[in-house]
Amino acid sequence: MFDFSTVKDQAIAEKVRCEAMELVGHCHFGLQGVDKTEQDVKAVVNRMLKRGFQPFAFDTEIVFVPMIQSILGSGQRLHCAISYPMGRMTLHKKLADLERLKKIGVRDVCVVLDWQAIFSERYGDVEREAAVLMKEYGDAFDKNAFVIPATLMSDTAIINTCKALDQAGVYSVKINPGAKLNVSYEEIQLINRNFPRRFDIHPSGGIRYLGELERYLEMGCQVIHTAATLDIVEVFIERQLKRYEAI
Amino acid sequence: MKEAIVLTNITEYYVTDVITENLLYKAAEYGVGELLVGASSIPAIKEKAKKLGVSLSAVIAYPSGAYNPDAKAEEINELNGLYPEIDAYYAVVSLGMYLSRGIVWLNAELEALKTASGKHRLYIITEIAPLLKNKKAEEFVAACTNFHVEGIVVSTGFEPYHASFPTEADVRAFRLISGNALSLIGAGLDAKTALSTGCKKVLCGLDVENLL
Repeated sequence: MFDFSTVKDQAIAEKVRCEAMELVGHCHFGLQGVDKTEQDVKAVVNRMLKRGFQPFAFDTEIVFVPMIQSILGSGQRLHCAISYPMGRMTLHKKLADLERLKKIGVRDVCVVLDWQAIFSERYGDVEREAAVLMKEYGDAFDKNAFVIPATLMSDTAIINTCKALDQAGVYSVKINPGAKLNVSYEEIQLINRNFPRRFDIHPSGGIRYLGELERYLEMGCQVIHTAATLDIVEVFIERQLKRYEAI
Repeated sequence: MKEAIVLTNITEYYVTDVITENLLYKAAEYGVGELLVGASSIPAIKEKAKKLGVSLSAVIAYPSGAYNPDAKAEEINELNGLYPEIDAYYAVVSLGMYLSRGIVWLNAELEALKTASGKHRLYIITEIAPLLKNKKAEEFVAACTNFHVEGIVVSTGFEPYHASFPTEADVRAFRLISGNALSLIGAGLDAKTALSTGCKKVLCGLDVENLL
């Protein structure tokens, strides 16, 4: 953890601290998994608090939301995923879970579309599901992203799925869920080429380095999922201070 | 051997209607009586399953299980209404919350799941390795027995979550604790090993031929 008080020029230190805050402000991170306990989640929350950076959203499971809210208050945006990671729940169940999240004050969500419909090329079903979700909850959250398993899809399938989401009025798309399905630059470029400035794209999965994060930002992505956020920002701080010849 | 197999696609990311149908046909071909799927797979196969005499089971809250008890009960209640073809439910319990909050949480979950599943068979999916590590296996088994759960699946088998899958020794140790009160279903480890260490059944995918 970098100690800014060691920097001689405190004006530069403050400038870099602000730049780091801005960088983290694009990121999502948190902790999920079948055997993760409240203590595990608290440890990540405390690490974040110790660093003093506020991510775009802190990712968690619905069962941990009250506990995290009791620590962070309402200032930190929380993110929960619906029907994660394969979208196999019914539409009715996804709607019910969105209502639950809305009621407890979660402001950022992603909904995993029915992947069996996507992989089976039933794009009409994909559009219908997304349209209902958008109609009922499109404006209910700060962000409501729809998760596409792009890494497992052909270019044509990605384009056809995006066409369905375009028709359904979807704005935000999360490219891959993480959980070992990792985003690539090519997937983002493909969507940008075919749907210029149409979607708010959230890359996810396997983003571990500063260079990768910055590349996605250069591609116009404003929200990036990376579990390595707090490590990346350390690298960023050191690089910026060197760049400004402050260390 | 075929009686010991539950065919499933739940651990796979890439699932299509055709893959699900093929799984059903394999079940029929090999005389495997039970197919375990997620809710989104049921419409593609429910009528054919009935014709082929293959029993359908549905997975609940898979793979994380990190939902409140009422949300899981709601999921079962909806599927009860939509698909009378379902014979059994396999529900993932919130292991993280059980390890955090203890038996009160687990009992609330099991009660909600048992009430919602009604006359359907109810299996519980968890990761037994963390249960053994945290010395919670006895308590977990006792709670499942109290709520007349049919059996315990020893792992989610969902590799991307980095959960610690059970070893052969874990299954043997858990088997000693569960005794005959609950049947164990193997997942997350080699199927033949699971059966040889006391699992009554195993979850198996399209590679079922390797086992038969």
